[in-house]
Amino acid sequence: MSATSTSRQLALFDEVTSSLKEWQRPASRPNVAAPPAHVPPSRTATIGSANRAEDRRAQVITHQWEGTVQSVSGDSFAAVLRSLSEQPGTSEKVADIPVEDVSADDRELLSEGAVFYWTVGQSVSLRGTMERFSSIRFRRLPLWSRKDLKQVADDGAELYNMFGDPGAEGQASSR
Amino acid sequence: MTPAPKDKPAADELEVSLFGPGVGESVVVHVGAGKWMVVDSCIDADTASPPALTYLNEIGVDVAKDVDVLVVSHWHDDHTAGMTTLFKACHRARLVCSAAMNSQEFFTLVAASTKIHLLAGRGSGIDEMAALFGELRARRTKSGGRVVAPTYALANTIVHRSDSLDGVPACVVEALSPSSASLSRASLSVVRLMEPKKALPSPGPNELSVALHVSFGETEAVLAADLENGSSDALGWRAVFADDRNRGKGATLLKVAHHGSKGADHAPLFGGMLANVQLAGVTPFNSCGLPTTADIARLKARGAPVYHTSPQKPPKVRLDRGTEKALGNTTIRERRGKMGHVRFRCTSGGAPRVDLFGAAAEV
Repeated sequence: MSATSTSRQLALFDEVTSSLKEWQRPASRPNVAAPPAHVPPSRTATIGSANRAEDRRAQVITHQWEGTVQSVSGDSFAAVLRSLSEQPGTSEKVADIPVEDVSADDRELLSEGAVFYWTVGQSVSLRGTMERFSSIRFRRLPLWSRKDLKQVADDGAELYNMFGDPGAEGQASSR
Repeated sequence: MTPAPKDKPAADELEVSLFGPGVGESVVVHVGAGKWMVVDSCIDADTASPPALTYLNEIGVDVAKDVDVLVVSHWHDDHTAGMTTLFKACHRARLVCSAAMNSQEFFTLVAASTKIHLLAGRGSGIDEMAALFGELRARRTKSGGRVVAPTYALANTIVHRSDSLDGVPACVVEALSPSSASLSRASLSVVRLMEPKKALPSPGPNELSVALHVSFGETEAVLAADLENGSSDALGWRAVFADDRNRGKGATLLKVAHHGSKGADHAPLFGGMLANVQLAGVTPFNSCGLPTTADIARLKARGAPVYHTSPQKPPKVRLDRGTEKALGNTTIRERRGKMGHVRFRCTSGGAPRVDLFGAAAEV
């Protein structure tokens, strides 16, 4: 590729990148909520190994959801979705999602009640090649601390003393 | 759309009213002489209130005095949403919960609900239970310790009894489940809390639900909650069928189990307790696509007309073109449909009649 053509490509890439950044700014899209801090920020510049200018891709997220798994059945799972790209308070949605859309690293986290982030968008290379992507990543949360466990056990015992009925027939046994 | 009902049942009339918008269900029962029972709760998105409360207020019931019993069949969030609001309004109501909740493990889970990671302030079924017990605790404090614990129901617990009086038949509401064997399977041990903080630990099998048999003079009803078949004769509907104490029980009216799912349809029951059902009502569960077309066909094949509180599938969500292409064949729909109300009324031994309101329709 000639120096002139490379610089033209780079100029085109910069133009695309800045317009994508403009698209992403909340002010220009008043109905789009900024994703929460714990969600990987959208990347609008170089991604991947970019030793060669022509390998760089600009990426824009078109929609994000936070989801909770309702049930897992064979090769798909049912989930309730809450949009992170729309105003808070937007109604919940449901979808049947193929398990194959979940990254291999996260498959072990797929279970009823698990929480995930679903990110959908487009990436475009310097050459103008567009690819769509759909990424599902499950949330990884910290383990309970000993202090937390003791606190909830004590609180639970107090509630049980107040409202449990140890003398009831068939009382569920403590383990 | 049919306007909201304004008429109360007659004193000697059993009523079973079923509400369901596609997320959750609530059953309102007139047990005679102007007294009421409510089983489970959900939220009407249009009013942001429990439909049971809206309905009872609209037909002129004094909920503070005349709701005798509130039943929490199990603590999945689609059956508990708004229960605390109901409990606050129904001052005299006695609370009845599944016996699966009568354990230190369950109360530890309730205590843990504030520490379980809840995203964007969103609650869960256990969150509502925490609020409910918080309200019970507040009442206990105000009354100087006089407020009693809930009644914990398992198979053959009498949840409500009223004697015959002034032409109004006697009414007995008896729990059909959970069985004693299923209580030991309740997956509520503290050990599970050692797992990473999830939004919602699995609440345990639906076989812990409180299904109810209502006897109103010569008319009977079964309110099947989310009870499923069970993996042995000691569990679920298999246990109900196997229990000799249930021989002789029947039903004219049926609230179908677990949104019509195949796993909650125990065929032998339809040769026994449910052989003479004349009217059946079902609520949808849109998150899992229940009832399916096959479920509806199976229910209709039993012979009785089936009424669905919200049969119209919620609309598909339209997204921008790029997102829809990236999603491929995956369809996203609204979770909540339109609220529907199926109402059955029947005098003792009489022919039952049905009224449909909102989105409800015969299927």
